[in-house]
Amino acid sequence: MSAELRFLVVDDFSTMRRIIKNFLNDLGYANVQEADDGNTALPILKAGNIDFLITDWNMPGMPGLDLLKAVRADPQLAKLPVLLLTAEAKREQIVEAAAAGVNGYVIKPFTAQTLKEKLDKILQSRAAQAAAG
Amino acid sequence: MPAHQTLADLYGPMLEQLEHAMLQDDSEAFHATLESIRDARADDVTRELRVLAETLHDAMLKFRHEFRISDLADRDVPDARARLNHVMTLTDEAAHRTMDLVEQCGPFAERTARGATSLAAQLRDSRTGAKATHEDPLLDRVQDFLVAAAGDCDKVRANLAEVMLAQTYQDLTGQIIRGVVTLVGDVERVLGELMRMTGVRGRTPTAAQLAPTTNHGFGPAIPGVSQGTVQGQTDIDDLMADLGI
Repeated sequence: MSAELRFLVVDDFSTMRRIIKNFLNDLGYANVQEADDGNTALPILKAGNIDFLITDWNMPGMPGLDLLKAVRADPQLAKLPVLLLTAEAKREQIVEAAAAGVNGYVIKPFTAQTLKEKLDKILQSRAAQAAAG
Repeated sequence: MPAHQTLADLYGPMLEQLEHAMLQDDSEAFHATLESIRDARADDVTRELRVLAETLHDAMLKFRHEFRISDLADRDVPDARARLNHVMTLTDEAAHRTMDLVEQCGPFAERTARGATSLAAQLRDSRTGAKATHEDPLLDRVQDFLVAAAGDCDKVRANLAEVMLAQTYQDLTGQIIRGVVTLVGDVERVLGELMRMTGVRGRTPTAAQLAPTTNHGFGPAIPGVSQGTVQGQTDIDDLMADLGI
């Protein structure tokens, strides 16, 4: 079932998107879409075919924080798991992201192990919530 | 000359006195009036200079304020140099890390290719001529696999060599960035000179001026430049745990 998860990876650097996509593929997740900004990501999300959002923060059009807030403000998307994968490292930013409802925060540069741990943690938490009904 | 006073207002009476003294051939009165006119003109020039000085002062204040000279010279330009230097450090470390891994992988591919080639040859020899026995599909596949494996490893080695070559980006980008760092240093010197000429002293940006634009982000943390940052993923995990996530 988990291999059918549909990911959206949002980052303005194509090299980073490629790295994350390859990483997800290696973990067995074949369904990975890409967007280069929050503005291009939102329509994809609103189409309703994404189960997990991994997004950068510092993007020129719509930053990741705004994308997160837009997701949480949309009743259809409010429960979507969101992982921020970013170089932004100020404490106040992490607090703000947490307040905005992010499910995980991974800082760049990152290791494959760290990303996998955070991913698994979010998925396990979701599964537990679903089981609890 | 004040706007509400015309030339006639300022100099009219004195010119009449001058003319009267001239017509009367009153040398003393004539020269005294001339000096009065000269003094009035000096006052005029002083007034005009004062207005000019005030205009220039206002223009310099506006220039400093609108073009953020102080912010640029004290904070932004030095930060830019630090950021560029940090970029060079990061790309240097990444390129070296890549090359370390490539060098580790090379011998693995080499060893596998050699071994596969040798085994394929031995297997082929054992199945031909007088030693040939019945057909064995499994052995066929093994033989095919060994040949393919050897070929694949050759490709891997070739690609690894390309990866190594591609790290030249770090040298090229480093040279370009270094040129920009030099340029930024020149800009910093010019700004310092501008500040000195306009009488601007360096000032520490206020907390309001440094108010974070958290929305759009600040980019990666720069050692020695960024403030209020975490030290790594462990710090983040601890902070998130404190926040209940």
